[in-house]
Amino acid sequence: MKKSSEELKALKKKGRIMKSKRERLTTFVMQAPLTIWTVLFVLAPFCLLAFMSFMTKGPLGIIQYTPTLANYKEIFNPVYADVIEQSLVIAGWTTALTILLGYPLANFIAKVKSKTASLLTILLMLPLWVSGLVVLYSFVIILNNSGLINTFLQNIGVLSEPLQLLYNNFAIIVGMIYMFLPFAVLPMYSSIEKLDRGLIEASKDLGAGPIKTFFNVTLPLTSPGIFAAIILTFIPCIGYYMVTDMLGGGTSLMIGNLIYRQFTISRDWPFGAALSMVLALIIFLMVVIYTKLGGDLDDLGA
Amino acid sequence: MKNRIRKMVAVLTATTLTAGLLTGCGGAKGGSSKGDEKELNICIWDGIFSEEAIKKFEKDKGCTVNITYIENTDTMLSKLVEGGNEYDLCDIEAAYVKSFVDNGLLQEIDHSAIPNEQYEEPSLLEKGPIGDEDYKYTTADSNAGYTAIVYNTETCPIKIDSFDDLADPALEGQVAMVNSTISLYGAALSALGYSPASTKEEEIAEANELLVSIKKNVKAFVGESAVSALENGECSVALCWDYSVLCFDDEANWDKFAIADIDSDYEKFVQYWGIPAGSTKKELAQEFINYMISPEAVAMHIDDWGQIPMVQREYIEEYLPEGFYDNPCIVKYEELADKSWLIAVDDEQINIMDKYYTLLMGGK
Repeated sequence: MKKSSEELKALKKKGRIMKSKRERLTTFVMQAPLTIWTVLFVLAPFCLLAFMSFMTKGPLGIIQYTPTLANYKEIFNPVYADVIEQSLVIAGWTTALTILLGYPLANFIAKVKSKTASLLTILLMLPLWVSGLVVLYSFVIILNNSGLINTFLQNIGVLSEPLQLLYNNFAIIVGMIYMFLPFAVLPMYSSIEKLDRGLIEASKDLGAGPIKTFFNVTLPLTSPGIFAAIILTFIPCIGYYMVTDMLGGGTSLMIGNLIYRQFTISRDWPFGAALSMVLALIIFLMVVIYTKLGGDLDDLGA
Repeated sequence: MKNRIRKMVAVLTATTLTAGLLTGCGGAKGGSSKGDEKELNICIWDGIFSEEAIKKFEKDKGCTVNITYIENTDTMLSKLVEGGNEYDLCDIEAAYVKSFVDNGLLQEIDHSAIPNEQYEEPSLLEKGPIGDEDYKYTTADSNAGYTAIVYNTETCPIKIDSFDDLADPALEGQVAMVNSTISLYGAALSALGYSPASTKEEEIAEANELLVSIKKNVKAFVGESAVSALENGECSVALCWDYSVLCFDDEANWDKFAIADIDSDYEKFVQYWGIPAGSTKKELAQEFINYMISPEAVAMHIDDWGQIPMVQREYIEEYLPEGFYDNPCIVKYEELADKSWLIAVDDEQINIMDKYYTLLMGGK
């Protein structure tokens, strides 16, 4: 008796169908480049970093192979704990604001005609194709005292003195949102686009107003996209220090700066490795929470 | 049939990619010093040397100069320590020469192969950097200056007589500072009357307190340059190494910006050439040094980046534009010679300072 393709898929999933030798060889060959790449450039460096984090710093930053837990103990020093907390707070605020701004935008893109939606999606992704440094320098040019905004406002007589737009929290928030908006909008757009419009109509037919419909129908049904957006924004944001350095004036330290300094100025690679492991742990916990809440790793590109 | 072809193409592509990946891993260029004899791998700072001068050297000698630009000496040090004999020539900050020499990272230089040293400023030739006072391993390059307080004469609201003045509330949101640990803590230690090379934690803690009080006024800590913050009016005062850049940038800046005359000393920076111990291209490296410090090449560096010439005036003047020596930064450079400090970076000191730096930047 012939099995249907769905039954075959289910059996394959359960591993009940043994692949032929040829199939296995093909699979092996097809996966080899990615596997080798992942082992060499993801797993091996990660293991090396984990190993290094338990070693001791020697003169000139040379690693001495004497096992120690001192690097992890040092992280609990309030000096470093404050920096980690500060990074989490900045990442949290950026994520919240990006989601709040990104959701209406994703909703708008999902509702316009498909051609316009494609155009808007390309425009949204445009900053990702340009170097982050170039983008941030362009913000410096736009926001500084003699920049485009101040010059324009002064020329038309709106301002007599330039506005302080650069090297403050405003500049950090603008820069962060700009850098991470595409990461937030795309998964939310995907979620909103998949939403069954019939359910919204049904909610309206049953007497719910737009606000009630949004909170009771739209929001819960698009929550996987929001969760994915939170993860995709929060994770890169914790370690990203270019915006605070270039637009915020570098007056506060992010965990990314701290790690960078350990590998350069301080030449304390073991401590830098320990900080990196903590950052990796935070990210791992975020992903675990995400999956526990029902998030799909596919939405994160996994 | 079509499927079969597709599969074959896919398998072939995957095999090629795998082979490529593995070949790539094995085929990396080894220690550059073992490479082509006519290739020189140098590690230098960006914004100091003229690329045109380097190209001219390549053309004259029929060689290739591979350049790695660095943004701090620590990166270079890490690469030399961890990465073996990667470079044939390095441009090293004076503060780091001792670390390089003490750890056997440099080889001896044959000064007879660098005759253009004779054109350099006598003050440079008198004594080498800390750790290589006899110039056994290094030779001076063409770049030097001070990390000084530069202020806008038109907009700075107070007269700055001391480093502590940067904490004056009148300067709120108007100060830019370099983010180099040594420059910041060295300046604060010097202002407090301590040695900038201090490794005493209580003195560094005191310096940190002074920096915390100044930080309230700081609008931006800059990694490379404070020029844009000063020129676009974001800040009216900066602790930076850019005075000469400002002065060479625009003649209008000669009156607009000045170095504050304070009661403590400023950090001096000088760069030195050093040949890594593992390099096998010492001769070519020395030829390169000799060319790069020649009056002609130094004039090209100056033309590109604006620097105070480390070559004696009588030898370089013919290559420089008329009125070059009217630039106030040249006079100021000479004035500050006796009011400056230069220390050798010490691991212990850096460890303490970096801990306080984290407190300064990350503390609540």
